[in-house]
Amino acid sequence: MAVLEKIIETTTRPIRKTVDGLYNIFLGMFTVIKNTARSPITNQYPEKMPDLYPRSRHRLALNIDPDTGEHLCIACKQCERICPDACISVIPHDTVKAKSSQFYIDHGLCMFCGLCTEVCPTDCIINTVDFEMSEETREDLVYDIRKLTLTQEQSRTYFDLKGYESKTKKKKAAAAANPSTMKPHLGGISQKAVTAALEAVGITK
Amino acid sequence: MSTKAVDLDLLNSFHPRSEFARSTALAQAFKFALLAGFWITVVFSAAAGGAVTFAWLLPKLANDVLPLLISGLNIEMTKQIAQVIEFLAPTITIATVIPVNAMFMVLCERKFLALLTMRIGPETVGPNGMLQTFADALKLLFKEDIMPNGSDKLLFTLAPALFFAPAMVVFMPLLSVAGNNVGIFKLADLDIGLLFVLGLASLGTMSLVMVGWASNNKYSLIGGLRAAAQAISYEIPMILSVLAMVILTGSVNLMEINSKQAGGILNWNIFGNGYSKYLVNLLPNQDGIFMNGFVALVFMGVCFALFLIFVTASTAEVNRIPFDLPEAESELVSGYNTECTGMKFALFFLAEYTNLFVASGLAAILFLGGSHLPISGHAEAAILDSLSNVTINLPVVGTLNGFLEGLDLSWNLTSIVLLLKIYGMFLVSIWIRATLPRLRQDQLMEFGWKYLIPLTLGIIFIVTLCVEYLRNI
Repeated sequence: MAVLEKIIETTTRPIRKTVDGLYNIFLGMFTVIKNTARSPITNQYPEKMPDLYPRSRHRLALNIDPDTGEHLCIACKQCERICPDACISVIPHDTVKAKSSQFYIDHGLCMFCGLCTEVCPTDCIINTVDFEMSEETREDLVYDIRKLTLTQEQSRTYFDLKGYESKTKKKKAAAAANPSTMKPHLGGISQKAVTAALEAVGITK
Repeated sequence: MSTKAVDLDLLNSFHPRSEFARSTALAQAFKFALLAGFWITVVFSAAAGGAVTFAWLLPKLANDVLPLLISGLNIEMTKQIAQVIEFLAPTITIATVIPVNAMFMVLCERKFLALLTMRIGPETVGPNGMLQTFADALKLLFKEDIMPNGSDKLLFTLAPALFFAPAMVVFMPLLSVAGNNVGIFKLADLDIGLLFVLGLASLGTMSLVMVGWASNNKYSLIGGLRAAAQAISYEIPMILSVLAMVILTGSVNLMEINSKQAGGILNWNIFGNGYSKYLVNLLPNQDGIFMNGFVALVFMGVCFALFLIFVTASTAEVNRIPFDLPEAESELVSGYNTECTGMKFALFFLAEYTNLFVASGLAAILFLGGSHLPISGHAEAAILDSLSNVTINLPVVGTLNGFLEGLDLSWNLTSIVLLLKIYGMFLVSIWIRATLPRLRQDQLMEFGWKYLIPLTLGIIFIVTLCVEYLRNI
């Protein structure tokens, strides 16, 4: 019995192999033809920017306060210390405290690890989503503070994107958290209610 | 932290960009259909224009107008001039149709492949990238012709031409089928059409070995040798499957094979050349014999298998994926044409696509009913009849009156039908290319010699028995 089975198996093997092969080829061809009903996934980069995410790490930049417009860098040199490539150099201001006079980042050395942005206490240095920074010489890749600093509008955009909070917002938040620093008001009655009450009795401010 | 994508309008206010709509599948398919329609029109009108001009317009002008222009020209001479021009017609037709057709095929392949792999394909040159291959051809014409160091200069120069010439000549018998043997195109109707095509098609391999040897490059040499090995292995199953069709139709004349398949889709060779009518006998309570139906069923299955074998073997013959070992770009830089530049490369490219066109044409003529519509024979015959004697009345009185009288326009239908079938086969070959990976050299040889050839031999035996049985019912 076993011999007969073996004989049948060996004799039908080429046929089974052929049928199997043909079936698999047609399966593959069906899989491929289904793609015609799917939209192309090509990223047409120069014509169309790819969809980048807020945390994508590209060119480094320095924020200014989106509300007041003052530079956020306090020259603490945390970023300079943590940078594995030693591509950041911060030069503090001679006279003014907590202010940097010059800020160099060599983007030729930078490997976009984002460590500097993590240690920055004032959310000053950030990774932007701008990745198009080809230059003609290597020296041009060294950005100075003027080139690094964003405008107020851009800073606000990045603050919103990355979920940072500006100084004034932080103050407000702190005030909300700690009621003792709140402005005193009329015994728990709001100003609006007082005005309304005064109006009701015919006294206007 | 939100993970929404960056609002680019806001962020890239300092990066102004053109609006670029993301194209959908439907838009891509529409663009491809547009391209195919446009290019088929161009190919057809180029061929038809060349054919009509040289086969009808110029000889007629020479006959009618030349004696008026040049006095003292006797009728014998004008007749001779007209005849010479007329005899040029098939050549001119081929010479116009090959480059235009190859340009279309390359572009169509790139676009269809893009469609199958969710890409966009060429888009920049001309509207929807329609002029991409034209630009490429123009560029290749002006490229420098580099002769590699230590190459055999004579062979290296000769090889592209020797590859291109057979591809061009092989076109000839297809022309008779496409042109429905109208007028001078009877010339192309060879009695040994199939032999002619198969014999000349295998000539091209020689030049592949030649260029592989002559370019003094190991990759080219390996490519050329592989081409030779592959051609020898896969010509046998291909010719055997063609032979089965010759047994079935009883002729090696392409026109005759073509006309045997007239009268609807069931008369095509792929569906058993009309013997499928005996399938009724398989049903119970029929007057006919059960055996007839069974043989017809076997025969139909075998015919379909032969079609698959022919497609496989011809794919290997024209060196296309999955059998593109001679030019396996991931192994052999670019294969046999690695050292070819400019016009040499263009000629190889052109001939390759022409070979593919001819292979698709053979598949269409041998298996898919050639130039016949998939409808019943009566309707087709009626259309052909009405087209075969057309008189167009020009609103001009004088010498031009009766100029367009008794025109045989039946070639319009046959050539368009054949062209569509060939392009259909071509699309299938692109589809295969998008699906299957390349075979290894030993797998290729094993598949050819150990499976395909024995299988085809067995099938030929079955076909012979079936045809003999079915003919004598």
